[in-house]
Amino acid sequence: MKIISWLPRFIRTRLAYKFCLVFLLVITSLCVIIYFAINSIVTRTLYEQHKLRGVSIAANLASNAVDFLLVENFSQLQLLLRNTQKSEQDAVYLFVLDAKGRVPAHTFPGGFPSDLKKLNQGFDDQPYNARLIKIDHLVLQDIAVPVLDGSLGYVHLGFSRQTIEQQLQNIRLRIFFVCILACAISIILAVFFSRRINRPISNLTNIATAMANGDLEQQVDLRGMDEVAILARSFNHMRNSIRRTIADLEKENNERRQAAKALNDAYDIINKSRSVAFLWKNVEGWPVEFVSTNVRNLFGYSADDFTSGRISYAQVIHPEDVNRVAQEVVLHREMEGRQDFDHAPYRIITKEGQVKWISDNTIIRKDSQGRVTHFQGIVEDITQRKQVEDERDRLISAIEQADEIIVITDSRGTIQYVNPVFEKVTGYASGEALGENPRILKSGEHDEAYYQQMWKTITSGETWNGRIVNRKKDGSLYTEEMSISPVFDRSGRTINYVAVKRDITHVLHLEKQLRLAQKMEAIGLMAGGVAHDLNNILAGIVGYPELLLMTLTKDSELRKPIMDIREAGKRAAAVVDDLLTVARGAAKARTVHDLNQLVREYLHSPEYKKLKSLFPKVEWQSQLVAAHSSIACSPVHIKKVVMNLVTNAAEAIVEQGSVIVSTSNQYVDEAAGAVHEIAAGEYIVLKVQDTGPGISLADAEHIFEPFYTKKTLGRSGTGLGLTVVWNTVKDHEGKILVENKGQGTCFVLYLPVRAGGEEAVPAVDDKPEDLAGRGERILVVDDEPVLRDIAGQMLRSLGYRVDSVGSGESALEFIRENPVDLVVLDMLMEPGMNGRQTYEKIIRLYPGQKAVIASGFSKSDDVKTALRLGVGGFIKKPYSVEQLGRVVKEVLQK
Amino acid sequence: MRTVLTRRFSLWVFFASLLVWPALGCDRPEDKPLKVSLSNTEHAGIVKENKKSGTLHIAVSAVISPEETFVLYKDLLDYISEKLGVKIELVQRQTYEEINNLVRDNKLDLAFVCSGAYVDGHDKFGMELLVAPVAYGEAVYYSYIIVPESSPARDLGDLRGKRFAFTDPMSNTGKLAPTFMLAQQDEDIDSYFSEYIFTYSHDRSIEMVAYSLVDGASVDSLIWEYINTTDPSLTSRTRIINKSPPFGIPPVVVPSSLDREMKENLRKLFLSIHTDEEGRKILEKLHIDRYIVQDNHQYDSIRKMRTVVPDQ
Repeated sequence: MKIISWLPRFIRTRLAYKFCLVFLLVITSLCVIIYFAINSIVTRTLYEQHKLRGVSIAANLASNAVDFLLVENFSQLQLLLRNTQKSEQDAVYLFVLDAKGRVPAHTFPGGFPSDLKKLNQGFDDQPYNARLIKIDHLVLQDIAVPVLDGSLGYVHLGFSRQTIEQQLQNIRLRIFFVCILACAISIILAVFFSRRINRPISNLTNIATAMANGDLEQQVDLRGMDEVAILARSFNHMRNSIRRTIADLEKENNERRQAAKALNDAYDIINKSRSVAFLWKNVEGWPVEFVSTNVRNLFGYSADDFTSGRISYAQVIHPEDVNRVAQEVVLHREMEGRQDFDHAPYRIITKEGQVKWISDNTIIRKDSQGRVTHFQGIVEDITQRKQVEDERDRLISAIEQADEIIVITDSRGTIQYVNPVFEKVTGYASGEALGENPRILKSGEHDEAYYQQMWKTITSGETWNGRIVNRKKDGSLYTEEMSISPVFDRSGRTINYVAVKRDITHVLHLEKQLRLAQKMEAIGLMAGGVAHDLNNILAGIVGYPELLLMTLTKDSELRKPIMDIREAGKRAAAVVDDLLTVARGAAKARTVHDLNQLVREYLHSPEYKKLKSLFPKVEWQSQLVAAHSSIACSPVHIKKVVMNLVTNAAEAIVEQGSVIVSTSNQYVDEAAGAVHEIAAGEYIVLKVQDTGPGISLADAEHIFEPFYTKKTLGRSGTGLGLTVVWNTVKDHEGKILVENKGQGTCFVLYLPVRAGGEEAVPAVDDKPEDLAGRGERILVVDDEPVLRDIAGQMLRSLGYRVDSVGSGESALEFIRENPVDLVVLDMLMEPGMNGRQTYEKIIRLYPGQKAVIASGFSKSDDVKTALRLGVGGFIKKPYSVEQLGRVVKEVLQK
Repeated sequence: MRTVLTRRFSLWVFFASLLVWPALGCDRPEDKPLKVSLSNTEHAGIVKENKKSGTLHIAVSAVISPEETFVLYKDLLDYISEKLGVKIELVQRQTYEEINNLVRDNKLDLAFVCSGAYVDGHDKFGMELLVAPVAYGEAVYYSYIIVPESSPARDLGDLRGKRFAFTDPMSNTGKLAPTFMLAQQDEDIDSYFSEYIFTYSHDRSIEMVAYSLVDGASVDSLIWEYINTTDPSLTSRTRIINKSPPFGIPPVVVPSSLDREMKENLRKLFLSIHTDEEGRKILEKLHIDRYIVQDNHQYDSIRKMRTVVPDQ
């Protein structure tokens, strides 16, 4: 306790005293330790040596005792012991214990103490056994040594330590005095050195105290190389370091304060902003480790809801988006070198169940081993923006996918936007059009006033509606119907113009075709209506002159005017025929013919010869080189087409020139087919070319219209020539193009080649024949009295016996009573039965009755039915004697 | 504060341990003295005991020193004890005469004696010859006169006036033979040698010659040859200058009063020692080939010498 109370006082005392005391304590302790150590070592050593001496004496005795014991000379043995005891001062006793436990010799004058026999116990094959014993107050070393390995017994020596103890006492005393001397010298040295060391330390202490009070200006002035001087220098160095450290700390403190302020500001900014800062762990469900407190505004949940783990981030993501968000995370996380990434906008569901769109910019956080540990991100509500974007996308899609051309320009008319339809129609790519003025499309079809009017309208804030002809990139023209509206900003200023346009070229074309079709239909209706009556009338005009001519002499003056009447009648009939062709189309029955052959037949025809004679200055050429010239056609119509075109060509030449008829083959591919509006395939091309003045552009549009002619009326033609051509080509799935090059006109006809199939029917040679009858009986049935008369006269002139009736009913009645060889039946008879009905009745009476059908129309359905029923021939009205005679003869000969 | 206290505590522990350390090293519990009282005394000392029944007392004459004899014959005696199933007690005496007296007084059952002692015992009180060993192929032995290796002496004649060592007064080779040699030259030992001593064993005589403590000695040829093999460094320091004629080898004897059956058993045993492995090893150690039955007349040459030297 005393030491404990004294210690604090000692600790507070001066360093010199502490040094002295500690030094003294250490030296004293060392002296005590040395004293005891030496004492211990010396004592042990002396005792050990003393013991070994005793062992040596005993061993020597044991050796000498062997023979005495063996030969049982115990008196000598006793003498040996006594002599040994005398010579050894420390030998207190000696005795021999034989193998049988007897004591043959000892040195105890008063008898052997039997207790000593016990000392022999515990002797195990050792060279000797030494143990301390105490007899009265005397401590002895009993040393036992075996005689002849113990087989003869043991010699015991009681060895006193008295001499040794005295020696030890002397040694201890000397050590003690040496220790005392060492302590005294140590104290003197301690005092000396403590004073020496203390002086500069005091100096240092004073300066250190000054430093503690904030005075860092003082320096320790100590020179030398000893530890105190080094300490002083270190002290000065330390003072400088402290000054620097304080300066650094102040600087660092300032920086830290600024950083903390900046952090607070940043946090404040985030919390007041619409953006929410997140720190997610890179584990399933992305639990939130940190989130700014403004999270409630966006998500409805508090920051604690997230950070406490009650709700993970994945739970708030819309179920339809969460997989996509996870895929994006995985994709970018695995990407080498990827630092951050933007999620495509995704939806979240707020605490209140509201769906919001958000943007999410995520930064990837990695640890020192490069493993992704966290994601940090800024999340922002973009619901409104998303709605606007969606709206805009819808509008853009609508504009992009609209059928109308949409062009947006700025207020000066520079194109800012064109939609895909614009590209498709004009041929200009979006990139080519942007930045240009719409006048790139200008066709020149409109004058400047037209455009000025348009600008005037739109710059005044009105919408301009109109039709305009523009030019495509490939130079072709097209018509568009457009509406141009100005676009205003909030201040009412015009910022853009929007043009919504529709390409109506095709519509116009269709309209034109419709108009043509309607015209044709009207003509057809008219023609159909008048053809029958007109043909009946014309039958007389053609038929009677023929009958008259047969009766006139060859040199009769009447012959010429009568022939003119007949020709005029024929021309009128031809007009009616053309009208019917245009109205009802070319005959549907097609046979395969060689076009080259058909053209040649025309070139050898009387009509061609007549034409050549009319135009003697025209050079006629033909180049029929088409290798594949078979077509499925109505040959009558095709020949008429050729005739009409050649006639037109000849008539187009003013004075001199040439007409070229040519055929060739051409394969029309898909692209060319699309241009000419015909199917792809092998075509035979028939060209009829003249070197006339050509056709004006305005006329070119109308040349195929009926009765549109520039020719002098009455000179030639019916006003239906090219209309018939156009209709015929169309009916043969062909195409007619007009090449008007300013140096004449070229009509180009495309007719599809018929591969193989029916052989071309060779044209029948119209050679003179025997048409005379042999008195066969013929009944002519016609409701028209003139025609009954003409037919009767013609047939009689050919040698037939003829009767005639005015209706089908009359015919039946007649024939029941008077069978005939052949009946000539008019198809259209009114009122009553028509030709077909009449024939049906007739064949009930006379199956197989021979008959010929006559009609002003081409073969109608009734005609075809009648032919199927057994009528042998058909003749178109008006007919000549020759035509009638041939068909009657043919039928009769069947 | 905690650190200061811990440091201070460590300091105290250090000093305390320094003080305790020497104290620990000083006294150990085993060094505590055992108290012994001298008050209980007894009468000590040993008187020579009479022969005990059931124990076979076998004596070996001090042909060699008692310690050597004890070591050499221990195995043979243990063998006999084991074969006969009786305890054996070895009896040794300093002189041949003492052994002969013990035989005469029936205090022994069997004795290995010197040939001289046998002749004396047989002739005086009927000591009986049991068996005799065959050593180095023969049942005889010789007396060697030996001198130190460095000695110039070439025969016994060169030892006149010198110091001489005899073995035992009753020894044949160690005393009778040289005395007889000198007697034949009309010399007697007292006048012939300047001084002589009795060493009471042949090995001691050899040792004394080897260390030149005497100028010559007369020894048993069997002992010299034995030491020549076990400690040749000793015999190499001696030189044989005279070899006597052969004498009957020192025999194994029994007192005439010994039970006849025991006598036969003992003879049979001795004659068969060399036939088993253990016995053969023991005989090898003693440098004995085997034991045979020996005729008393084999010792007549000794008897003849004794007549010439009547003191024997």
